[in-house]
Amino acid sequence: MIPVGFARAAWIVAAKDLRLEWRTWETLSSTLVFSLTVVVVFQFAFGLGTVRELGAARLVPGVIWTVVAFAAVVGMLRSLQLERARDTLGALFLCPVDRGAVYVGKAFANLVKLSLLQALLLPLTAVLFGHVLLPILVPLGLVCLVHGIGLTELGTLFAAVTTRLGRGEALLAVLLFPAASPLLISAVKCTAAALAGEPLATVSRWMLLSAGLDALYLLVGLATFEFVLEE
Amino acid sequence: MKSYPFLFWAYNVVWLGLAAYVALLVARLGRLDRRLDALESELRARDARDPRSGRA
Amino acid sequence: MRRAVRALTLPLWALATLAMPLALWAAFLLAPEERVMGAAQKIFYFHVPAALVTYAAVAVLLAASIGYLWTRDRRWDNLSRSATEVGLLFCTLVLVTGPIWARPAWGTWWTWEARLTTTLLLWLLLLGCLMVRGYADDRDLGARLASIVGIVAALDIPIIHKAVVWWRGQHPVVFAPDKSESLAPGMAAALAVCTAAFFVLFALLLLLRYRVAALDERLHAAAEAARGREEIR
Repeated sequence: MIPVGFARAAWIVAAKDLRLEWRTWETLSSTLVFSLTVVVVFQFAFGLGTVRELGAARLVPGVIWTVVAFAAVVGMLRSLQLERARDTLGALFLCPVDRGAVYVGKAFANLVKLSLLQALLLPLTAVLFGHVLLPILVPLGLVCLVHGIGLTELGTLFAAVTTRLGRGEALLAVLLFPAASPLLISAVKCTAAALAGEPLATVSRWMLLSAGLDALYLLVGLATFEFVLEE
Repeated sequence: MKSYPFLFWAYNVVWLGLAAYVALLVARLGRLDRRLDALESELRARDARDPRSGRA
Repeated sequence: MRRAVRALTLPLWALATLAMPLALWAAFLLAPEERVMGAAQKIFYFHVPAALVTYAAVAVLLAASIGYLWTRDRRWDNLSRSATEVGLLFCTLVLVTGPIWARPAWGTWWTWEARLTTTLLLWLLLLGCLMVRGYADDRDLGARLASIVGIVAALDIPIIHKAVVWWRGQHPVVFAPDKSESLAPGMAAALAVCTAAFFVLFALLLLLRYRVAALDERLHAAAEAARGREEIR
């Protein structure tokens, strides 16, 4: 048996998940429709007058990240429930690879899917709420990436915990949202700055906090994921 | 002074909360004790019926 | 170990019985009445110690969770479970006494003030830990998963606090008197006495809950053994 290195193992796991997604588009389609529905609900929740009065710059960051947070819960849980349905969780554990590699692979696949969702969601909110997109594409993209990394790192770990317990979205949300609250606060702040046309340097401490959290959550995930997979 | 009711309720919340938890623990201890007694008597009865049972 | 735990119970209980009247004396008689807020300010003497005990419980939870994952010794898990529950209890007390103090002090039940918001998030995290334990069919699985969630929760708390403080902006909306304005000596002494009393209470509750957990486990193991012997026959 050829011993598989960490990076290669992670890539194999990620590629498997992404290939599955490419063939079925299951996660992206369901999370996109879900997101669209939630955006519409927000429009009704706030009402036209409030939306016009507050303006896109103040409203959209919160809406985007609420939608992303809920869609992330749905999407990440699904990716792990698929494993449970086909009984492959145990197989993953038996693989002679570093469990951390399985974690990184799954988290990376979730990140790609989440980023795809965000890439489709942002033009949508630009149209629905009337904010600019092209001029701020780079800072906005960076904000989405940095915070998306942390969200998927935490989310993948907690989704695995939730799946092992045989539970669903409700438990994952209860676990993830409080734990990810610094990330979500930071995401909204940074997105607001980007939408207002301010350079990211003004929210540098938030970006740095999030980058630090990304590193922390990765370490915790690497250290503890094997205990989740264990039979 | 008008804020006394708040003081009263705050302290009561603390007392009652703590007391409720202690009551919970005591109740659980009682339940565990009863189960332990039941288990022991069942084991005794079983051993009395069949003394050949291998003691681990 | 079991004997040591059992031996501690009565002394701790006696200490707690003495400590609580002492705390009441300190809060009501030792501490001077605050000019502006009047009597309600005295809630502070139970609110702050409860918060400190909550943080201590989280620290115990962190240590016990790591201990369990490291050694797989069930005793660490029993400690972890106890710390989670007792921590949640004191956290609830903080969240209830806070608004009761806020109402006469600021006229509103809830403010998204940094400390209160962080406490609410902590409460949700601790509840999540308990939920994970509750949903697990297998004790080992529950212990492992709860340890993981506990570690994340404990490590997250200081970060959450920092983030929420930044989120709130620059208003020095402090719940407790600021460090810059020093507490009147009577107040500081009262706070110290109440804090000590609460920590004694914390130790007692932790110990009792631990004993319940340990007994529960022994019972479970004995029932399993009895069933095993029955099957061999």
